[in-house]
Amino acid sequence: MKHLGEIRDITGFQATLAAGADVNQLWCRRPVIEYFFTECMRHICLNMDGACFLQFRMLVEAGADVFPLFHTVYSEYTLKNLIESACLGAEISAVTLGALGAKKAIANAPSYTDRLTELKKAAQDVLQKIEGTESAVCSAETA
Amino acid sequence: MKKLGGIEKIEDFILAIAGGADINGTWKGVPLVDYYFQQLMHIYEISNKTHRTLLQKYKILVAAGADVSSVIRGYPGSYDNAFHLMRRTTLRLELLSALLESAQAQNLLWQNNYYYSAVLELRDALRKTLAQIEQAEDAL
Repeated sequence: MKHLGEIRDITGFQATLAAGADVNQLWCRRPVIEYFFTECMRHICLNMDGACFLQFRMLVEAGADVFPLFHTVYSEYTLKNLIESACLGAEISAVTLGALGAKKAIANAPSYTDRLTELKKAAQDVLQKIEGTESAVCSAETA
Repeated sequence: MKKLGGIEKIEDFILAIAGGADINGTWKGVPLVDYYFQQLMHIYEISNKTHRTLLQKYKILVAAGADVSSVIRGYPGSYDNAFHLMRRTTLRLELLSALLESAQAQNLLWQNNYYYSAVLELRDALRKTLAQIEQAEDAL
């Protein structure tokens, strides 16, 4: 059976997972989930092909162990970088949108309509997940 | 008067603006607000003090009424503009959202002190962003 890390074709990747491939196998001497996570981070920074996103999602859904992502030894493209850069991006977006004249400038740039919709959807999605687990954690602590 | 871009300390930066420094002045060939924005586009972590100062200066300039139209419009051939910032932020949030599908990831986030505070900071930033997006949509 092929290693998950070497499969570029999404259908092939899905078929290999369905055939019972080990979702916690190593690729390039690290857990395959960490490999795909790094690829996704590289994709965001360098505007590469985004197939790695689907592969990463499939691995998570298949129950891969995500613990390595929290304790990685790699200095760049880590989960820490992801959370901090997402936070920074959200903060700068909020500041820029709140600037004097920004909303008028955006109204004059039609390409922003889709951008705003996408960002809103992604922000709502993550916020909902954070708030959901936060309330679960709080109620567990008070119980 | 010294140019705003050449001032390092936040306190001096604020004093200079209060003293009437030109908030739409240039630094290294571009409007100062663009210069800070472009620097911020290449930062991937905010725990660093220099990075936090940069963000603070950008916020102060914007709050003082600096013109951000060039940040929104961007420059030909450059990805350092609000459009790409929003695109990248969306992709990062989508990646994080995929990870948060894992119950194990959700537990680990709240168990670790560093991630705990980072996630709370992200939550607050997302709330601010959503509020601004809703206002921007009303203006469209």
